[in-house]
Amino acid sequence: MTVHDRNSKRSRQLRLVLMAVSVPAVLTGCGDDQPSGKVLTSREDCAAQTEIAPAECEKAYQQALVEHEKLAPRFESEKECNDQFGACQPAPVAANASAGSHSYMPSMSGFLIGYALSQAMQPRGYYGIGGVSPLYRDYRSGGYLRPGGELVGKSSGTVYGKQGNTALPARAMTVSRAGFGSSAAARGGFGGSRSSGSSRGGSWGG
Amino acid sequence: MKRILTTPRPDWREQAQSLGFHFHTIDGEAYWDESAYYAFGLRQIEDDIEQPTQELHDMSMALVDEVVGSEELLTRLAIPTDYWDWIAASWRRREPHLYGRMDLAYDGRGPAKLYELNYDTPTSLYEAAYFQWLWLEQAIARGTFGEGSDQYNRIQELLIETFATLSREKRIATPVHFAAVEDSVEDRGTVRYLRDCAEQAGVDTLELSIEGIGLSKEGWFTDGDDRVIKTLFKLYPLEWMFVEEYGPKLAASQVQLIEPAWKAILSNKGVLPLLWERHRDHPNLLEAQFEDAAAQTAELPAGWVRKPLFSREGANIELVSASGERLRSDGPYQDGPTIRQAHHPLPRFDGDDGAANYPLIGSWVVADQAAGMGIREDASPITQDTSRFVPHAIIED
Repeated sequence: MTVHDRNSKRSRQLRLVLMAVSVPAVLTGCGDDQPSGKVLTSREDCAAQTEIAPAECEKAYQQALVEHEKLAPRFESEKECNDQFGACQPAPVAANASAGSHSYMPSMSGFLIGYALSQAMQPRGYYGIGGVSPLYRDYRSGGYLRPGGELVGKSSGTVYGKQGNTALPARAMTVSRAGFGSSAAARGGFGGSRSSGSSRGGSWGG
Repeated sequence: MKRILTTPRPDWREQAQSLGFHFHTIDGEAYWDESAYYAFGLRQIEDDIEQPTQELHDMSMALVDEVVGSEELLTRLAIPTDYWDWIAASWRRREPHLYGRMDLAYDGRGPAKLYELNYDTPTSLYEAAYFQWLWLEQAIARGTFGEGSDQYNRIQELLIETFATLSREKRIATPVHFAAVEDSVEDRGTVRYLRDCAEQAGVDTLELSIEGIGLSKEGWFTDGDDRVIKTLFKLYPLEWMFVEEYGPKLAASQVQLIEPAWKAILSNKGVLPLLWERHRDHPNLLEAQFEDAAAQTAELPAGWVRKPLFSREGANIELVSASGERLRSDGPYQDGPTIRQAHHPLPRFDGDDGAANYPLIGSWVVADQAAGMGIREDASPITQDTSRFVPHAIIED
């Protein structure tokens, strides 16, 4: 390569890794040292903390309750549920459940507020909320678990790194597809032609 | 600024194929064209392109801040009411943006004039950022260009740097899904290139088609393997997403879009009259106005161009030159609101064979920095689907 002076208007060195020859990507670890969320045990905790705007915290609690109804762990036996979590109750019967099938679920014993990834511009120094999850206290281990069983922490308060990642689960069952793309299909002119969703050629003398 | 003929590299097609540039020729028509290049002086680049690009970008960003807080302006831009809160929230959170391209008419002398912003789904990126750079590097190595030759092009470097910063500051969740329309070779090439940049920055990526995006019962978007889509780079117009089946699912899906929701404001030609109202007689702006129903049905006066707020690909545009010559293009965007922009013709650079060439400058902004440029050239004064990408170099006389 030629050596360019530092005032060059172009980059010195460019390469491609995907488009030319495949090179395995280097994956970066995520830092586990940054506050990433907060475990609260009740709605009242909202008033006793300073990281999240109280009104937002109340909303997060309500949202956690809604998620709890949908996602709480289900047990076939009441005993099995109580052995792990205590305070178990019959789960609401799903409309499509077969007659006589019962299941039990624990009460929500806390909730996790995950901080938003992007922390710019939060009013008055509060963390933005990235997501919410109901939590269940496991009596055998003492830890707070998410509906899927992942341990968030042993106690309430700030959590760090991946623990606060409420953003979204890694996987979910897809129930429909192709809800985007109809405009392109209707307009045609996409398929490999010179046109594209951008205004390539969209600039008339104006 | 000169148009200079040059000999194409004998193996440029093979290189293009091996470097993933599968749309160098589209429908049998050459798209990448290195039989000529545009030469500029450094002052032209820095004073007439780079600095005005930065200034126009900053003016546009200030405009977003004003529009998200104004129902009147959101209404004028014809942004659907259902999405106002979502767009405003994405701006308040300063959801990160990656890139945009502004189209400028420039003849090497007077101030460059802004035709429009392509700030949601700009293409012609790979050819500007990488293939054009490679062309010059090889020309210098071969000795056909002097060691002092240069190019206004830090686009790829800044794209990689931006991905690295977003990842380091945890402003994007990974893996990042990249999506383009299934049948568009060109769009898929652009998306593959952006993935390449993200991977070089250490960001884990996946690819899917726009049509392949699914929805879970919880209301999250998913890919073909039921992975939840957390961050989605979509080479697909926001305003199309708004009116499609999954549009109403966007807000609750927790997906982070790139370009973000607030780009709906800047991908809208209504910003042209708004910029003019706020910066009247700015040397880089052309006069522009919203058209009301009466103006829309009236005969377009000489010296004006009519553009739909939401047109793409140069569709549904009407032009009357100062001398009264009328031009018009068909397309699928009729019946929407329109703007009028003062007609400022593209410069003409005749080839040795006497053929006319009309270049349009695509000036790139990455994150918030003026980054580089690419030139598309057409045989007609209107840049259309038949345009070619012609490289440029900075040559000091």
